[in-house]
This record gives sequence, structure tokens and C-alpha cells, in this order.
Amino acid sequence: MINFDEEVKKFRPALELDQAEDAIYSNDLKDITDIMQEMMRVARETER
Amino acid sequence: MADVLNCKRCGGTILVTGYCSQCGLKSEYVNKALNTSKYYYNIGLDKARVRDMTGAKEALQNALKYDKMNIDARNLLGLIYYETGEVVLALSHWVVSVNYFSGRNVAKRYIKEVKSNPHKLESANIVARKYNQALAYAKQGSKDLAFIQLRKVLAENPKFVNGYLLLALLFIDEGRYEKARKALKRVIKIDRTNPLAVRYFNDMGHSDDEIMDFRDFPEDDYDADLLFVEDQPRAYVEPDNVDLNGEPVPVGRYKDINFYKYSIAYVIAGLVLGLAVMGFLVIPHRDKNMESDNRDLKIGFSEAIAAKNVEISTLEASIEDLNQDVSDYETQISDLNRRLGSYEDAQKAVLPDEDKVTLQQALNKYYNEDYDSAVSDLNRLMEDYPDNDVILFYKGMCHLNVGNTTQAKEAFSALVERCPNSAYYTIAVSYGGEGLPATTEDGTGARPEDEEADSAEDEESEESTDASGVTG
Repeated sequence: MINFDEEVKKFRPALELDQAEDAIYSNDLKDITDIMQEMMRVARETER
Repeated sequence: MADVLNCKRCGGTILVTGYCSQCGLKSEYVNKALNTSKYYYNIGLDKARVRDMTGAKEALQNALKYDKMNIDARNLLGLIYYETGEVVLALSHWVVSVNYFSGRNVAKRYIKEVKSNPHKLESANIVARKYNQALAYAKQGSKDLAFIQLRKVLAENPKFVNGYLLLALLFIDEGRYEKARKALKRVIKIDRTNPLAVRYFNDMGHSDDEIMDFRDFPEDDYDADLLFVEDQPRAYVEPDNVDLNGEPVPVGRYKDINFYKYSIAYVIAGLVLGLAVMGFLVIPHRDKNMESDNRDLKIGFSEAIAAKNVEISTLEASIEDLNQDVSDYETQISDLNRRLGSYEDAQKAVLPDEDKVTLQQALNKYYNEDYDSAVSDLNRLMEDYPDNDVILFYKGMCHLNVGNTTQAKEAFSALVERCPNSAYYTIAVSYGGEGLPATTEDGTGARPEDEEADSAEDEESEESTDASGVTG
């Protein structure tokens, strides 16, 4: 059976216009190639 | 000359080792990532075409994880957010898309279209704000207020999936399953596989087949207001309830839908809501303000009264002091009056030198028992000094010694009357009252035999002669 209090906790507030800039900046803009590049950089630094 | 391969990620030259000279990534891995991204994009596109928004969203997010610069995937994801009512998220993806690729990018048109209509942008913002408010009310347990806000949200944006889901949850909580069902039907009309809607349907006892029916044969009514009015009795019989073998069941006659009735219902509902808002929000707030004002006024008046009371008590204390001063001054005035009387009497008793001599002679005559001569001297002095106590006393004494009691009484009475502060006053009172014997037959009255009277007379005479300035 649906528990209202538990269910309503799962709802997240919608973004308002003045939060759009934050939403853009906080977007996770890393893809898998970025992660690979980062891993290679760390590996190179460790070798040195 | 061999073909030069470039990295699909950064455009750098691919070395013979298969690694990019610029980004250092292996070309094979980059290509694999880009292909995977396209694969997920295609899945997302297929799902979006059949309005499986949730599935499309997941696939496109995966596509972006493999290639953040997959412009098509990002634009489509923005479009899906826009379709489900989340305009700000849609805009954010389109802005990022244009930032990555500013050439012929459809996201530019999307942004332009949204921004070109300020009313639409403001409306999207209002929808988000009211939805957040409704969510807050729902979390606080103010479900009526949440309903009010959601009604505004869905009237403004009839495709706002999260709004319908929250509304359905509120209806389910209140046991209004028919309304919840309608709201959820609208959700799956927009997003055919919305997992939350499907779960709510399942919890309400609907099978997957029924849900698929709802999905495949959606109702066309998108009027959000219908979700907020009470259900009308149905004018038709459910197909499941028809008994094909039984007796025909009479049905109600056809009747036009009375839309005017709905208008009245809306007006009444508006009035009730208005009254409720007045009763629960406006009036208590106003009463609270009035109470606060009254309290401030009471405090102000109490402070003013306290200040006045202090002032009154101070004034009363000063009045008491002044009364005390007045009584002191009155006492001083009476004392001064008494002293003034004594001074005036003393003034009266002081005689000029010639008269002092005459008085001395009269007293000598009195002590030599020459009373008649003494009385004549004293009578002469009386003409000038009718209020002199010494003259009056010795005149009375002379008359007394010759037995002329009546005239003696007159002299003593005159002394009592005119000279109340005189030293002879007590003796004069005793002689002037009933203290004297009646006049004898031979005309001689009773002589004063009281020794005390004699001694007093001697003492008084000494004092009086001193006071009158008469030397012996």
C-alpha cells in the first residue's frame, strides 16, 4: 500500500528560472573520455 | 601518402601507436565511447518517439555519459524535459548544447522560441514555484493548500508530469481513487512508462493489461479543472455490469449536460475557498495585528497612568508639605498676633513722664489711704488712658476700700474687658464677678480681707509699677 509520507519524500522540487545558472554549472559535464584522460594523467604523475 | 587520421574527440593527429598526439587517448577507446553514445541516443530516440519519456531520458543520459558533446542527444534530452514540464532543465541542456556547438544547432531555435515569449517563460517559472509550494504544503500535511496550488500549476501547464503525480498521490491518500486514476492516466498519456504512475496503478489494483489499455486508448480530456470537481453520476452502464441474458434494465433518459451548473459550482467553490482563506488566513492575521496593537496601546496607557500616578503622589506629597507650611505659618501668625497684642497692651501701659508722676502720686495717696483724692487723680488719668490696667485696677481698689462696691465692680469689669493680657486680670475677674460683698448699710463696703488677695495685690502692684514705668 502506498505510504503518503514516504512517497512524498521522493518528490524533488522543480528548478526555478533563477536557479538555471546554478543548474548549468552544476551539470556533470564529464564523459567517459574525460575520466580516462584524468586516469592517465594521474598514472603519469604517479610514475614520475 | 598515407591518410592521416584525426582524433574524433579533440581533432589531434593519431599516432602509429593508435594514441592521439594531443589528448593522449587511445583512438580505439574514443571511437568505442562515441559509438556507444550514439547507440544510446538511438535507443533514446526510439523511446521518445513512442512517448516513453522516462526510458528515453535514461538512454539519453547514458549517451551523454559516453559523449558529452553528443549534441543530438543533449537537444533531445532538453526536449523531453520541456515536454514533461521541466522548462528550466530543458533550457540548461540547450544552453550547454549551444555552448559546445554554436553552428547549425536546433537548440538555438528552442532557446529563442522560449525566450521570445516572456509570458511563457514567466509562466514556466510560476509553475515551478507553485509546484514547489504545493510540494512543501504536502510535506507539511496542508493538503487542501497543496490541492489549490496544484490546480493552478496544472491549469498553467497541463503537461507537468510531476504535478499530476503529486496530485494522484494526494488523491490516493484521501481515498479518491477515481480522481487519482484520472491524474495517472494523464501522466501515462504524456509519459507512457512512467514508473511511478505504473506503480500507483498497481497499488490501486490495476493489472498491467489495464494499464496498457489506459496507455493505448487515452481519454482526450486535458482539462485539469475537471480533476478538481466532484464526480458526476454516470449516465451509462459499465459494459461489465450488463446482463445480456437478463431482463432489460431501464436507463435514465437523455439529458443535456448543464454547463451552467458547473459554473455555479465553480462560483460557489470559489466563494467557499475565499471565505475559508478569509477565515483561516486573513481574519486571524488581522485579529493578531489588532491584538498586538491593543497590547501596545495598553502598555502605552499603563506606562502613562503609572507616570501620572507617580506625578500625583509627588504632588500630593508637595501639597502635604505646603499644608504643613501653611499650618506652621498660621501658628507663627497667631503667635505674632499674640505678641502684637502684648506689645500693644504694653504700649498702652507706657505713660508719658508727667502722667507717670500723676499716677505715682495717686498710688502714694492710695497707700496713704487717701482714697478719694487718689480716685480723683485716677479719674483724670482715665480721661487720657481709659484702657490702662494699672489705673483701672487702683481705681477699683480705691472704690473697694471706701466700700463703693458698684463702682469698684465697674472698674474691675472695665479692666477685664479692655485688658485681657494684664497682670491684674485674674484679681480683676475675682473682684469684678461675684467675689465682692454687697455694699454695707453705712455705705462702707467690705474691705478685702483675703490675705492672698493682699499679697497678690502687693506683688502685682510692684510688677505693674515696673511695667508702667512708675518708680516707687
